[in-house]
Amino acid sequence: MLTNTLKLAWRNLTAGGWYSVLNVGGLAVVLAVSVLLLWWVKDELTFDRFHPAADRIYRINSRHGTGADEQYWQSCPAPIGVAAMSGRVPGIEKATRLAGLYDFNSLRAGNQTYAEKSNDLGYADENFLDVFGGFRVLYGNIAQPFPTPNSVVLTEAMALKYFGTANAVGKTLTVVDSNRVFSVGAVLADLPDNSSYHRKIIFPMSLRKRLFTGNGPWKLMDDDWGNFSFATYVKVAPGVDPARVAKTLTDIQNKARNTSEPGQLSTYTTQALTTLHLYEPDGHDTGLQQVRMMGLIALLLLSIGCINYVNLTTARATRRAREVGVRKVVGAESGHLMGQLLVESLLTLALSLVLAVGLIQLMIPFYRDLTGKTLGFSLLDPQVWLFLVGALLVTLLLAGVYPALLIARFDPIRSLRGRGVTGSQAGLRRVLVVTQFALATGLIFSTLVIGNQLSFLQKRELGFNKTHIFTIQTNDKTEAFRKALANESSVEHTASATTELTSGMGSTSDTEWDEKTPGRNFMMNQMSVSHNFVQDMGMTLVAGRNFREGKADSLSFIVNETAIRDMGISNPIGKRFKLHDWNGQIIGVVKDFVFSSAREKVPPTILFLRPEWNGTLYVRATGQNTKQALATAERIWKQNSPQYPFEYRFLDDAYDQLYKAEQRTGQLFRFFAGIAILISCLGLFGLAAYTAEQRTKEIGVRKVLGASIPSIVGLLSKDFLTLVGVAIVIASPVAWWAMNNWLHEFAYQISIEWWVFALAGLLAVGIALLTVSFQSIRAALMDPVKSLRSE
Amino acid sequence: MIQTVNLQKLFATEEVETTALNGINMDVKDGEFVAIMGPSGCGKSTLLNIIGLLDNPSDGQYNFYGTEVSKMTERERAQLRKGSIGFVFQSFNLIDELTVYENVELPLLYLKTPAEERKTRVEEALNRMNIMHRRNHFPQQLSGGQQQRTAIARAVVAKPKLILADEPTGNLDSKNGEEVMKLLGELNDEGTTIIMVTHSPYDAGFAHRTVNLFDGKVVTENIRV
Repeated sequence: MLTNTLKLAWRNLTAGGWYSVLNVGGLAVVLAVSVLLLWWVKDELTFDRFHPAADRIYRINSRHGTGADEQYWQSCPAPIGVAAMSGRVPGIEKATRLAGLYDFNSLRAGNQTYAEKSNDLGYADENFLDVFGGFRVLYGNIAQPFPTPNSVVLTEAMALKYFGTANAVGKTLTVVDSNRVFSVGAVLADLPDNSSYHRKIIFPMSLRKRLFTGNGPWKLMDDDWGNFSFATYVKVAPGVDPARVAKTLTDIQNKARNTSEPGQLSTYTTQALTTLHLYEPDGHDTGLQQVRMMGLIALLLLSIGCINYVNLTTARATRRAREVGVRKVVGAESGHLMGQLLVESLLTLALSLVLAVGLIQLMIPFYRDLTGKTLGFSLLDPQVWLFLVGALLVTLLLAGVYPALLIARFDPIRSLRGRGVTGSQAGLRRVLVVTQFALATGLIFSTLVIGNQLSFLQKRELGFNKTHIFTIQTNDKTEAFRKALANESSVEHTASATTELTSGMGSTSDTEWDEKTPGRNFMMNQMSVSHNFVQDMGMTLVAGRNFREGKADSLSFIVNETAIRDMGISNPIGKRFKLHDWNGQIIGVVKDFVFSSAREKVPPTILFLRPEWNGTLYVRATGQNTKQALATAERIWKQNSPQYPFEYRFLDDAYDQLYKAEQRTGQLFRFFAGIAILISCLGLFGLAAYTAEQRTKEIGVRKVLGASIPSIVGLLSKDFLTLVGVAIVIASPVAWWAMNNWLHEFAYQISIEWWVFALAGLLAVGIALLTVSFQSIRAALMDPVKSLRSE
Repeated sequence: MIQTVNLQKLFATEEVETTALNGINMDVKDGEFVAIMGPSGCGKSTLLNIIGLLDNPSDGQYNFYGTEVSKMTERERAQLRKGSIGFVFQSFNLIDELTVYENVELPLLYLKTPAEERKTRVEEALNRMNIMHRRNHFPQQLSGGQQQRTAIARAVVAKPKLILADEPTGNLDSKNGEEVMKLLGELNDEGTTIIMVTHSPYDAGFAHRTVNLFDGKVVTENIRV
């Protein structure tokens, strides 16, 4: 029986012609995209869960300021970690600290020198592998990854890169700056994609301690309460309330720091390891929103695909009515027919799934590009199969059961006359078409809004001129380098600052000014610049003057408009201002300039002259000769620092990076809207064909009675366009609401204008019309004699 | 043995009510060959559908081999129908996607007949209808006569007690029509009860008895002597 059923299912599928192609193709596309999306969602939701005790590990975050000035950081000072590791805090089983490494980035293995990205380098306390427990050690000792103070831990990829072998324990790496030699203490398996810790070259925290040169009153790293650059992780004992641990740590700090000013003290909070990836330190679920959106889109696409399947299958049911009737007459019961139709659906779905797997393979490079994930999507992975089979069963349930139920219940006498479908099913199909087109219109609308917001962001006034500027990390050689480049003909200006603008300036609350409300404490960005920075970057002074060259302005400050507003200073020029222990005055106010993502408002910012802090050189080339300026810079670099590779970055690219997340969202929406429209059109195309087929006799009669071709095309298209119209009316307010919410994430946003609705609607109608009219025209052109005979 | 008592069938829409059958009393004995005749729209096919357990009467009784079936659900009727009634239609009603062999095999599949026996019986039916050489062809590759012979093979393969034929020669030329009628006659000679709706007095001549319907009522009955 089953072989018969399968055989028949296969024949029905192959006899279906373009109908089967639409069905299988449409399902394959939505299955492929949905499975990929859901795989991504799964990956996002499982971040850091590979650590065996992940549910007991917390990061200590710090809270600064109060009220509107409140800020959360994901880091705390070193002594907090010392306290956590001391064993004296009740509830903490173990603790460890991780930190970034900015002291050097050039390493030598054998004769080869490598300039590594600072993101790949890090410091960690000796027990970090033991505390987390989930990082796999390939070679070396998990309890003692740094057997000596001059040890380094590498990931497998790094070991292979430097030494050509994963078993690199005992091999040596040299830090180029200091010529200090480190030997590999342990090699870790490459960290999984879903790890929020992803540094690849890890030095012992003791090295950080040795390199520490003091910070104000604090002479030792482990005593320094002012430097918030350590991520502290604690593993609490089972059943311990992490909030109590955080409270104890805050108390320890308050006891250790005798400051009279309460605003100067931070409080500490905990954040579960498993929430680090999707939640901000302040509890805001930024990451989760994106995950929800993608999950929702996966389900929407899957629904559109299922709707298509249901529509095409029930429309075609009419054709199969006679077959169903015959089967019933020769003895089939509803159960038999249900079984047969479900097997047919399963076959169609299985075929679609095979095709979908192929499509996924094709889409993987695109997926990697878009998500930056390596995607462990291998057919050998049982989880992948679980996913594929799950998607198959859900689709079968959503799309296969209804048509099977419907068809199996056909009345045998009506069926034998070739009539199976009654009015209510046609009604259901209308509802489904409306749903499908409402989803597609919603996606078109969202794509337009996202596109507009993106172009608004990219055209936004930045407050300075970023064209033809590239930056170079020059560290302590900035001034020499600047002088060497300044006289080159291809170079227009050179300036310097602490960091490149978009890479984040330091921030501080260690500030005082006239008119400051006592106890008020908020974070301001601080950046040292060269005296000509404001002028040569094309920034606008709205009050006061620029810095002057030399030492005269070493206690002068230029602040931005936001800082003036936030501080509440009237007539700022000449007002006293103190940053750290530099007591000086405000000499100028610069118009706000943009250096962070459009989601954030421009923060209050202080510029000052501290030439020894200026490790980044800004070079503006003359427009005609950027290439030559770069070549010159490289030549001079090679003369001065032959041991380091020459690296530069254009400010234009850096600013593009700021909008990368938004650009990605835009790209994804274009893609998904495209798929949704394509699949919806496939469905509409199929339905239009069947409607034309069903109305063959009516068309024949109308033509015999003198109807013109356009009137018949209109007649056939009108019904569908009405449905699309209803879909637009339903979709517009919902899409507007969703997009308005999305726009609220941005500090700078467009308002949605009426023409976006009009355009989205027009596009939907236009696409539907194109799809339907093909079938309508074909039906209208049919020879009336044939149309009538076919009845 | 089939017996109907005061069988009524009404078809109602919102606007009109049509009486298709209006008090049909009819007995058909085992092994009888009955022809039902009458003008278009007189209720012949409706009667055949009810006798074939495809539809229920609106009123009256219908006794099918000792079981009162007039109030049965579709499910119960389907159970009873299976294996006990064979159908032959004017338009053959073969399934286009199945071969001749598979079409004939279908009733046995639903009866869950074991594979070995199925094969024997299908081949027997195909040989009997002289269509064995076309067993792997699809219906659209056959002539009308061959298609109807396949349909008859399908109707007899489960060895039903009753065969219902709805204008079995209506779509055939006279030569093929004659052949089909001879086959039905042979089946009847072997003991199968046959009820046939027809417009053709010639075909009706093969039956033992002809029942004439007009406006949903039996008007005359002729018995062949």
